[in-house]
Amino acid sequence: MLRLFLRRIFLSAFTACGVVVLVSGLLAAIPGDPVDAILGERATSADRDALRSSLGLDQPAGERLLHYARGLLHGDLGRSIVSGRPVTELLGERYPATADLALAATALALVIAIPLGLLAARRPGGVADRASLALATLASALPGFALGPLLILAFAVRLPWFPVAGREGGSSIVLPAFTLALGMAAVLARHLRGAMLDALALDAVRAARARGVPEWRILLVHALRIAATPAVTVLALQVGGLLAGAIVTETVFAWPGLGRLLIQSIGARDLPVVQGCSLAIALTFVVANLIADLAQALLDPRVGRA
Amino acid sequence: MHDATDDRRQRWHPRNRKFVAGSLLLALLAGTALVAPLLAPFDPLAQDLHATLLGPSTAHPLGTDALGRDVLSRLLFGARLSLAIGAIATAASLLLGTGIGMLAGYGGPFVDEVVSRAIDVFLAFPGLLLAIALAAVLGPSARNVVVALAVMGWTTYARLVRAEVRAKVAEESVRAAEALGARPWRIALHHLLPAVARSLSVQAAFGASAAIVAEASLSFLGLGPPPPTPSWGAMLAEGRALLLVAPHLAIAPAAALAATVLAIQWIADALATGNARRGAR
Repeated sequence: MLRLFLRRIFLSAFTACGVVVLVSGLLAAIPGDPVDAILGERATSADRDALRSSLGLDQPAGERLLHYARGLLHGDLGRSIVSGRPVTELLGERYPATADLALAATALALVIAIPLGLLAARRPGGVADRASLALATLASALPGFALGPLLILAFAVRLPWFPVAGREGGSSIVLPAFTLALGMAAVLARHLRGAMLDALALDAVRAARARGVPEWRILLVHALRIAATPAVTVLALQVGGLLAGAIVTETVFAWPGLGRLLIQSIGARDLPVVQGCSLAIALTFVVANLIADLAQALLDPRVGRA
Repeated sequence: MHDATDDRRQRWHPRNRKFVAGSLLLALLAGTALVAPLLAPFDPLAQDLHATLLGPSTAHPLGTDALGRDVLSRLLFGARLSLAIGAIATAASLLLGTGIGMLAGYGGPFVDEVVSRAIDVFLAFPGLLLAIALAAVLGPSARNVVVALAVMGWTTYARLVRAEVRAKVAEESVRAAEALGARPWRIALHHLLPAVARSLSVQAAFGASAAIVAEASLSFLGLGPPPPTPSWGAMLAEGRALLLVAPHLAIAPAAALAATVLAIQWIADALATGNARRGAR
C-alpha cells in the first residue's frame, strides 16, 4: 500500500513539473515578437527592453524555465504587466471565489443527484428515471455558456429572483453554482442509478428484503453504502469538468474568480497573469486527482492489491 | 430462433430510432450549413444601423443584432463554421492521437513510458484550459482554434489506441506476422489499425460533439475567429451582454448548438451500443 502511495505521489510530482514546463513554454508559442504582441506598437523602446528582461526573453529557453521554476518555489510568479502587482497576490485574491463556487456547485450537484438517482433506481422506467435521463440529455446539449444566459434570462430578468451577475449578496451564488452543477448532477445521477440497481440486485440485499427490512432502509442503508464507492469514483472524475467549467461560468456571471482573471488577463495581454492562472488551475487539478486516487485506494482495498 | 418478426422489432428499437433521428437531424444541419449562402436571406456581415436589436419579424425571422445584422443568416453561416472546425479539429486530433498511441503501444517500453508521461502532463490541464491558453497565445483565428483543439484532444485517442494496440500485439496473429519477418509498418496497418478502427470511430463521434462545444466555448470567450465572422459562441457572448434588452439574441445560437450536439450524441450513442452488443456476442 505504501509503495502505491509513494509511486502515485511521485507520478503527480512529475506531472506537476511537466505542467510548469508547458506553462512556462507558453511564452515561446507566441507568434512573432512577444513584446510586440503584449505592448503593441506605441510602446517606447525603454518599456520594450524592460519587458524583455522581466519576461526573460534575453535568456535562452532552458534558463528561463529554471528561473520560472525557482520563482515558483519561492512563491514568486512575476508581476502583472497591467497593474504591476505580484501575480501570487492576484491569484490569492481570486482563489477563494473560485473555491466557493466549486464547493457550492458540488454540494448542489449532490443535493440534486442523490435523491434523483435513488428514486430512479427504486422505480426504473418511472418518473424519476425518465427525469434523470432528460436531465442528462439537457446537460450534455447545453454547455455552461448556453445554459447560463438562459438561466439569467429566466430567473434574473423575467423573474427578478437573483442578481444578473457578480458576487454581491448571498443569493448571487445560486445561478452560477446551478449552471456549474447541472452537468455534474446529471452524470452523477445516472451513475448512482446504475450503481444502485446493481446493488439492489445483490443477494445480500435481497436477503435483507426477504427478512422484512423496510424498503426505505434497504435503499438508504444497505444499497447506498454499496453504491457509494463507484459514485465517489465518478465524483472524482468530475473535478476536471468543475475546474474547466468554472472558467466559462465565471465569465458568464462576472464572478470574480480565477477563471475570470484568466480571461481578463488574456484580453489585456497580461502574460504573467495568464501563466499564473493556468498554473494555479492545473496544479489544483493535479492535487485533486492525487487526493481522489489515494482516497479511492483507501476505500477500496482491491485497488492496492492490483 | 431468429425470424422476420425479430428483424422488424429490431428496426424500431429505441436505439435505432435515436440513430435515425440523429442522422436525419445532422444531415439537415449539415445540409443547411452547406447551402447557407443560398439559403440565408441576408449577408451575415451586412449592417443596418437603422434596424438594430429588432425582435423576430417576417423580414427577420430571428431578429437583428446590435449592428442590424440578420440573426438567421448569421446563424446559418455560424453553422458552417462550427461544423467545419469541429470536423477538422476532430480529424487532426484523431490522426495525431492514433499515430502517437500506435507508437506507444507498439514501439517498446521506453517509448511507451515517455508517451504515457506526456499524456499525463497534457491531461493535467482540465478540460479547455490548455486550449484556452494556447488559443490565447496564438491569437484569435479559425486556424488557431483547430490547432488548440487538436493539441487538447489527441490524448483521448492516444490512450484508447495504446490500450487496444497493447492487447492486440500479444495475440497470435501479430506474433506470427512478426515471426514471418513482416515490417512494423505493415503490421501496424494490416493488423493493429483495423483492430482499433471500431472503438476509434465511436470515440471520434463523441469527440466531434465535444469539439463543436469546445469551439463555441472558445468563441464565447473571445478566443475564436475574430469579429465580424459569425460564430455561435460569439453570438452567445453578444446575447449574454445584451440579455436585458434583446433576449432573442441568446436563444437562437443556444438552440442551434443544442440541436447539433444532440444529433451527434445520438449517433455516437447508437454506435456505442451497437458495439457493446457486438462485443457481448
